[in-house]
Amino acid sequence: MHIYEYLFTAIIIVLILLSSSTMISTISEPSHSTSEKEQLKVTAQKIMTQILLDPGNPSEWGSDVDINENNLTTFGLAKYSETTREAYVLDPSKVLRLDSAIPSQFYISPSRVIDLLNLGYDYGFALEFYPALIVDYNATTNEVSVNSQQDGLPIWLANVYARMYYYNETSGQIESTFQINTITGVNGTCIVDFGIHPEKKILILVVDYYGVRVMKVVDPSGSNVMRAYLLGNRLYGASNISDNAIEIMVHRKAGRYAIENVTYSTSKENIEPTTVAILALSDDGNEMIFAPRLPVSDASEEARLTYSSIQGVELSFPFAYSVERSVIICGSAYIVRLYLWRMSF
Amino acid sequence: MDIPLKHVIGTIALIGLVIAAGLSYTIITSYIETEVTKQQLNQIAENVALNLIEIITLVNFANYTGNVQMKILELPSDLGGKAYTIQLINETSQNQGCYVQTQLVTRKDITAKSLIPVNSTQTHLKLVTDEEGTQQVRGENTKIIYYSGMVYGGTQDIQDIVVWAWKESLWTTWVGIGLWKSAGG
Repeated sequence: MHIYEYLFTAIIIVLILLSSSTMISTISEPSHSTSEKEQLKVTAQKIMTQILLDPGNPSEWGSDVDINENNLTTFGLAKYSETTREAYVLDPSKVLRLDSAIPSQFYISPSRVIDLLNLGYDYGFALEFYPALIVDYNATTNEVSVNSQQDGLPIWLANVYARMYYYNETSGQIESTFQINTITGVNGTCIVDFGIHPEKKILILVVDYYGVRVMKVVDPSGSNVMRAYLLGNRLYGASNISDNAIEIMVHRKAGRYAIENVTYSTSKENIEPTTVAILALSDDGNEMIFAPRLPVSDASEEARLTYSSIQGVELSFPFAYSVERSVIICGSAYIVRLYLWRMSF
Repeated sequence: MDIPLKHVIGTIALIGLVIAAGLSYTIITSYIETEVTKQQLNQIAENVALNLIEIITLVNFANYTGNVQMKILELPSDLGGKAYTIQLINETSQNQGCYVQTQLVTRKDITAKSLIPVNSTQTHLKLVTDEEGTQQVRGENTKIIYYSGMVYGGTQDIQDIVVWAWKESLWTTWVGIGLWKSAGG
C-alpha cells in the first residue's frame, strides 16, 4: 500500500462520517420542525383558553378604573357575573383597555400581559379583534354593505336595522330619526336614507344574518363628533360632559331588533346591559361626544383592534401559529385571533 | 517478515480514524436522540399544562364549590423505553412562575418545561406541588385520585394520569396532577 492509498481511505472514512451525519440531521429536521409547530399550537390553545374563558383577577378589572396594570394579578377577558355565565362572552370594558387610544392610565400594556401569562422572554403574541361580518357604510351614497370575512363575498338577505342620532342645532338636543329595517340585496348592499343631513351625527347599524349579529357605531361625519371611552358606567377621554346624554340600546323586540335610548346620567350606578354606546353633549353644547362600547367602531372595512407585544407591528408577525375563536362582545359577534410565536428556539 | 514503518503508522492511523469516526457518529446520533426526546418531553409538558388550564377554567366557570373535577390524560408510557416524570413547580416567588416540568428518570439533564399562564401566589389558585393525598370524586366508588406534585409518566392498565381541580371556596381553587386508580392502592 502506498501512502496515497492510506490518505484516500482516510478521506473516504471522513466523507462517510460527514455524509451520514448530514443525512441523520436532515432526516430528523422535518419531524423536529413539525414538533415545534405542534408545541406552538398547544401553547396557543392554552393561552387562548386562559384569555377568553377566564375573567382575570380582580374579576371586574375592566370597569373598575382604580385597577391599573400593576394591580392586575391574572389576565383574562371573559365577562364576570356572580350568577349566570356564558362561554366566550367577553367584557367590553376589558377589551377596550387593550386599545392604546384610551387614556394611558387605563391602558394595559402587552409587556404586563406577557408577565401575567407567564410567557417570559420565550414567546411573543398578538391579539386581533374584528367583527364577524364586514359592515361598511358609505356616507355619500347612504349605502350599507355587508360582506363575509372570507374573501369579502357579499351577503344577501341580511337584515339591517339602522337609526341615526344627531345634534339638532335648533333645539340644542340630541335627537334620533325613525328606525329603518331593511335587507341586503344580491350584491350585499342596501340603502339607509333618513332624508336629513345634520353635521354632527352617529349611525347605529345592526346586521343580523341567520343569528350572527354584528353591530356598528359609525361616525359618518368624520371628526365632527368627539370620541370618549366608556369604562364601567363612566365616560373618560372627554371633559365638560353635560347632563344631556343618552344611552343607546339594542334589544330584541317582536322578532326584530330595536334601537332605542334612555337617559344617561354620570351618577347612574349601572348602565343597561344592552347599551352599545353613549351620546352626550359638551357643557357649552358645541360638541357631540360619543362613546361606543364595541371595541371596533370604525367605518373602515379593515376595522380591527390589534394588540401586539411587538410595538408598531399590526398586520405582519414573525413565524407564528394562530388560533381563532368566535366570541360575543356587547351582544355583537366578533372573531378573536391569537398569533403566538417563539422569541427563540 | 519485514514490514515498512510507514505501513505500521498508516494502519494505526486508519484504525484510529475508524474509531474516531465511530465515536463521532455515536455522539451525533446521541445528540439528535436527546433533541428528539426533549421535543417529546416538551409536547408532554405542553399537553399537561393545557389540560391544567382547561380544568382550572372549567372549575372557575362552573363556580360550584364542593366537587372535584378531573380529566384523564392520554400520555405515552415511556419515551423510547425510558421512564419520565411529570412535576408541578411553583416558582412564582423567584419570578419564574408556575410550570409543568417533564424529565427523564435516568437523565436529569434532559428536561422540558411548559409555563402555566396564571400566577399562583397572587390569585385564588393553589397549585399542589409538594403535598400528597387522596381526593374522592363524587359518583365514583371504586377509584380515587392519588394526588402528588410529581408522578411517573405514562398511562398503564391499572392507573391513569389525571389533572384535577377543586373549588374549595369562592376564594380558593386547588389544582394538581395525580393518579386515578383503585381505592385499594
